[in-house]
Amino acid sequence: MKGARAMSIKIALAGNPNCGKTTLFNALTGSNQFVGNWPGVTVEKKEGKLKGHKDVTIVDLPGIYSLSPYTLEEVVARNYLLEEKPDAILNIVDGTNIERNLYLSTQLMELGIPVIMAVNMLDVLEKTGDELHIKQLSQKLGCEVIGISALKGLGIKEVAEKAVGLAKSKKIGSFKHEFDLRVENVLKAIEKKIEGEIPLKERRFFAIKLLERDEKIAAQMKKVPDLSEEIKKLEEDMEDDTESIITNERYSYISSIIGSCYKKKGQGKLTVSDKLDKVLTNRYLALPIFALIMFLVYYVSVTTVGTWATDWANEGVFGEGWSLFGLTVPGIPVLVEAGLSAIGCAAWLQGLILDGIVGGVGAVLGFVPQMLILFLFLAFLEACGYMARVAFIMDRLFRKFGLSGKSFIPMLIGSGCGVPGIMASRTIESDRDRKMTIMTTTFVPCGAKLPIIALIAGALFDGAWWVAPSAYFVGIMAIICSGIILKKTQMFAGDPAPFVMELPSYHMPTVENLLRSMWERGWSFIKKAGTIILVSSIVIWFMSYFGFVDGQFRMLEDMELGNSVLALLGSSISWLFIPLGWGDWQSAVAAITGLVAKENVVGTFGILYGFAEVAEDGSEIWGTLASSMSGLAGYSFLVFNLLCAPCFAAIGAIKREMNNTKWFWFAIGYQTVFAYLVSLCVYQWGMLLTQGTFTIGTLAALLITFLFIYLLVKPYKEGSYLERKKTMELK
Amino acid sequence: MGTFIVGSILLILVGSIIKSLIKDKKQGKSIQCGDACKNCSGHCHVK
Amino acid sequence: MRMIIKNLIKMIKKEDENMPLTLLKAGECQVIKKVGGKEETKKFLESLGFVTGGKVTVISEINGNLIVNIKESRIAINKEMASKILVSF
Repeated sequence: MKGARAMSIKIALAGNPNCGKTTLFNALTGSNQFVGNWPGVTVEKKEGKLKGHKDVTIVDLPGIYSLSPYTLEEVVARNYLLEEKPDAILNIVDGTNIERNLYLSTQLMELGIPVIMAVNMLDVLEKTGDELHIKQLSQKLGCEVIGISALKGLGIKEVAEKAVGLAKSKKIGSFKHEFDLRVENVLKAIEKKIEGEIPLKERRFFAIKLLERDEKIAAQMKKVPDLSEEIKKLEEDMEDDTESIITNERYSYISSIIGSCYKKKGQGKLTVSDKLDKVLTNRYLALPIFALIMFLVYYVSVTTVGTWATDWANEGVFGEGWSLFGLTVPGIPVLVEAGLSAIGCAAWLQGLILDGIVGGVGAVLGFVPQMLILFLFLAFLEACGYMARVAFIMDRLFRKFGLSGKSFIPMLIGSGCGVPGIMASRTIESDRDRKMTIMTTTFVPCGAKLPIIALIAGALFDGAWWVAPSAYFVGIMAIICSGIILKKTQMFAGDPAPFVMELPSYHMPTVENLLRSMWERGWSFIKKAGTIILVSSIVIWFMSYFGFVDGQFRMLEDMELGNSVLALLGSSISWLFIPLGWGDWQSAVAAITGLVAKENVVGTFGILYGFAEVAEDGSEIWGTLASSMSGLAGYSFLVFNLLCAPCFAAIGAIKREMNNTKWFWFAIGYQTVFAYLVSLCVYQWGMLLTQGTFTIGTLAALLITFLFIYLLVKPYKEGSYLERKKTMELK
Repeated sequence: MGTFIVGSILLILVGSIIKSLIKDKKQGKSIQCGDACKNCSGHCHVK
Repeated sequence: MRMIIKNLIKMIKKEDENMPLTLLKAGECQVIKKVGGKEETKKFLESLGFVTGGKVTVISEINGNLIVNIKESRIAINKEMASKILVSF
């Protein structure tokens, strides 16, 4: 139709993992997609509109090393390119390791879609002293090449404009790479055979894939010609299988063009990243260094810097008052109370607002400073590239009980939020390992559990230095012990998967990226507090301030909460937790509300222990909690909440990822029973060691501990395929 | 009188919060995460 | 210990002068002669740059697990996989 409006254009971003694709995507679309540093972060394609162009959509494909169909990311990317047929491909190439990156590029250029190449990290390349002649490269490849630095924002506009121009012109470059003559001849023959079905521009790609015996491509074709003769002849001729032939041809071609375009200056010297790695992944120092770093992260964010900030929040903003430039600003509860009284608000409504909403939500919001600092640290560790090394370091440890370092990645992600952590287990190929990873990922304390940690550490242990970091290590130990125990059962026995992972160079993350990541997490925490926790608080308040006194159902005084509906419900199960040291209805109820959101544990305590009541003597925050729960009981309570079933959102994620009701219930059951038994032992052993009491509970703890030790040290069951594998390796 | 004013403000506030929670649920987003969808890299939307 | 193994292999396999990557020490660089293993694994390794004729340098080593430099990129690879990559002497 003449004069029709231009159809919307789709440009796909394709490139290796860690080459800066997502950073470029953010720059092009202005969105704030999270930039992760390991495989599995981008497993789906993401779309956004190009800034300033309403009709141009940019699609961020998962990072891939090639277009073969072996990993989930490759399949997603390849299917997108073949089926959705974008108008152009923006191939991002990491300038600091061009050779490997070009392996994918050669394949992209065979698809029959216009390609424009952006060489990223030019700033880093400059520092190394190596030289890259972009014009030469462009000429040799047969497509346009633009140098950029996505991080610094250089060249972005140019590459965007050129990409749009290319997409509109629909001009496929004249890709010049040719393989060995023998291979080319066979490809010509294959192309002739598929002429009928495959359009011209895609023919080369299909021909090469068919030559490589790519089954998935063959499955997509209606009629697959018989190529066994051609393949056999070529394989005899060149003394190798066709897949290897093509691979070698690609690399030969790449070497031939690299020689004229890329000049290395620094010869074989260790880079800064390499030197750092020698220390951080040193066989003796690696684990202690990691332990020290995580200790510092939790110590600083919860106990030192965090505490000062949270004390200000809890005692000041949500307490009596705080000083601003020498003036005393009354705390929110004081203000609200005054305001409500002045307006003549009824007592019950005042109670709902003060004790319920301010009490519940305020208690949680008080921990925002500590969360922000924790998230800042975690964002830094991930963005600088260290966390990728941790997966590698833990691989050696995990392998001892049959898992691989790949299983540790979901746990690293889980220290922020358990849901993406559980989702990240998708990249684990082995079904058993994946199930085991899903089951144990939430043992690592997520951000929402931080208020609980901080509360127990602050209120019951007076901010002792070891409490907060111990929470993290309890989680890690729980994972390791669970791993050992489960791997020794028939269900999970088997060899761990191999571990191969690219480690990005260490780099100093930009302050902007860090603050943005920290703020995003912090904001979602605040939003959560204002929505789901607020609603939960209202429900909890109603259930705790209304109950039966002398047969009459009415609103209760602060001292009468033990008669409430909530107390009634809580008492029906609180006896279960007596051996754990916290058999009161308040704690039981708090733990249950944690299912909705882990922050609710703190919120519930805030409502039930009269957080909004400013203590008459102005004593430490949470004085009433401290007086009703001993330190040991508190720690047992902490351990239980750290290890038991996670919040509904994470439970939902487990259900989806397990995709099997039986396994789902097994996972939840395992976590909760494990949590119960461990907390029981903590409390009972603690009582024995500190007070010398010996009760039936202590006996139970002894038995459980012995059982635990037995499960840890019993011999492994041979996986049925361990034998088969050994024979195969001898081929 | 004060009770009525405060009460209705509260009702409107909480009502709108609950409405937005339901809207999120309908869109497939989890209601318990806060606005953290960006950090999840799009894992929530069950297709 | 490594030197003994190296020399033994040298003596026994005169024509086939290859050894697994795991025998390289930190700082050593060699040329890859063969990439073994399952088809999928091999293909993945190749797409990372582990290809016959390529140079590989060991940066760091923990109990057999290696961090190597291959085609200017840094790859972490565990012992089992590394043992399937054969390099020249």
